[in-house]
Amino acid sequence: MIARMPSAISTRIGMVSLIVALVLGLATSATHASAQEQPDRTLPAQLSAGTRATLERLIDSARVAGLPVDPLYSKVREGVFRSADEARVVAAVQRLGRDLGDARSALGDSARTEEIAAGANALRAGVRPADLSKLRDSRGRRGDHPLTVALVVLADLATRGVPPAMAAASVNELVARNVSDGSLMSFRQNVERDLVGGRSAASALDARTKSMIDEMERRRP
Amino acid sequence: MRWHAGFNSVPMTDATLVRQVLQGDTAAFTLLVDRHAAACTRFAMRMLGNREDAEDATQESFLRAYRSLARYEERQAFRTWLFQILVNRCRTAAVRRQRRQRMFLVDDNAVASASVRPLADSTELRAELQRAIGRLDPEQREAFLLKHVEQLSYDEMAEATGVSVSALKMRVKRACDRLQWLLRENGEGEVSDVGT
Amino acid sequence: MSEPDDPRWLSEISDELREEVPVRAAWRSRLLDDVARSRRPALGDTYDDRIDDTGAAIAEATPRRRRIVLTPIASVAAALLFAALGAGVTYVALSGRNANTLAPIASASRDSATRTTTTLVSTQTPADRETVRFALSAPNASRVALVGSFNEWNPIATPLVRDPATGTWMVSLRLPPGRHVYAFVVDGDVTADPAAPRAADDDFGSANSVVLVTGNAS
Repeated sequence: MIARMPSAISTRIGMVSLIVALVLGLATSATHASAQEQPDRTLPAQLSAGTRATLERLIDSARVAGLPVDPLYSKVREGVFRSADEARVVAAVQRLGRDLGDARSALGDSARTEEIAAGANALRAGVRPADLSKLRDSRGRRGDHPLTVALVVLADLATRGVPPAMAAASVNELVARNVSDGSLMSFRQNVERDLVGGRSAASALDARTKSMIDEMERRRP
Repeated sequence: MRWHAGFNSVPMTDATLVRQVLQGDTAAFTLLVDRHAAACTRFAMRMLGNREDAEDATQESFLRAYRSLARYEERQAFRTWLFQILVNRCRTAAVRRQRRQRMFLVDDNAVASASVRPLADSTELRAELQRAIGRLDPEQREAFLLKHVEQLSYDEMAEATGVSVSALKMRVKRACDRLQWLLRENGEGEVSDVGT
Repeated sequence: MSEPDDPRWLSEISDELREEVPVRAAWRSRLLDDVARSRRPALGDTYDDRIDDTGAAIAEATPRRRRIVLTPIASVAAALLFAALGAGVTYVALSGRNANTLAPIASASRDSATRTTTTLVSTQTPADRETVRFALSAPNASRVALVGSFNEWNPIATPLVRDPATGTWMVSLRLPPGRHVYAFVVDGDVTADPAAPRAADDDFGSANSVVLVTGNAS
């Protein structure tokens, strides 16, 4: 087809091909970094065109809604890595998109990207949106401090079998008392250790929350 | 404007999309293109009389908008800012075409028929309208299209064209009078060629 | 819609002229490709005269323009030329998409743009990144790698290195601030980090782990 075209057109296509070749050359040299400079916002070529089109639409919707899209792209790449079938990848992205939207609604428009992502994960673990909102309201004095750690801890506990409402109540109490992020992570670790050791969720939460509060009281001047 | 029921969506304004692009999400520019490309192409087509020139002008406008996106100020509607660029591109395209036409021996009929290639679903009325529009002075055509087709306010038109509101009102009025006359007379009368 | 006090003839022609003009897919593709190849705009850009001049230069230099001769006889040939040109652009765009050669261009040109335009203010300077050490005790494993949101879940991008004395596998990465999801691949099996918080979503069978990088503001 190219050979039969007037020279104007073949020159044009020639130029485009040259640009494509140059940029592809740059592309191969750019992919050697192990942790990307910037997140890859393209969809893997392994997916069928139809799936990619569906995913583009889903991700576009999320983007237009002001939701972070990096977690969605990451979800796709994870699915491809795990050789999941394409329907499952689409379902996962759809679900995550919904969770991100619900998390943003619960946490408020000024929530940071990572708070929304962590909040979505907490919702996925069974925490109710109302409990996310309560967390947001509990921040009090440190109204600006990100809830990310609290949300990650919450999702983790709920994933390990602690009833979500119970986990939310404990984390909420600690957040209301302005517990530091480091302490929240220790709290999580201790509860996990207790659970592994056979303690019931209720008793582990109760004990560890109390001991954390006691510790804070002791440290207060 | 709801996109996906499950996403608890909040409509994203043009200004927010611009901010996203400037923060690194260059793919958000695609959404701006999709929102405004049709209107820009339409204006450019009515202004320049043919699809090829219109697509070139619209393409150049979006590229310039992208490259100078950091200079967009949110106090102005993005559409107005974009049309400012587009109006300039169309003016440049018209001047360029004028220069070309002077280099070659053409007669008005050929210019008119070469540049008004009808779309697949074009009606007789649309073709006649385009011919009439093409016979307005470019300044009047520009003002008329911005006001009555693209429906900018006079203030927005002033920002897009750099012309005062009172001058614009005069141009729109003159354009309407002339169009009325052209259409009533069925296109007879003095010829002002598309490129002048 | 037309204003209520516009005369009827004006409303009618305005409505007619306002008819939507279809945007050609090939045109759209070409524009988005050009955008992807352009220097990325960023907050803090100062006005650069060369941007406008470059824009003008590109327009003037477009070869197609110089070749069009508008004469009465050639007007029909011109129409044919335009049609073929449109088809040609579509051909390039379509073949590119089928071969997936257009997909990498967007990110590649972004990467090259980031590398060459160091004067732009970027939202993530290297100083924001933190070094995070990942470690896993797996004395009997022969291969351990890290996969996660920070390396596009690529199992060959980030192998861990074994400490022969302890049998602990380790790797350090500089990560940007934020929430990152990851897992280890131990001799082909994907496993979460036993020492880290869990991510709740197990869409693809097994759980992942979460690492939070706080950045400078905390």
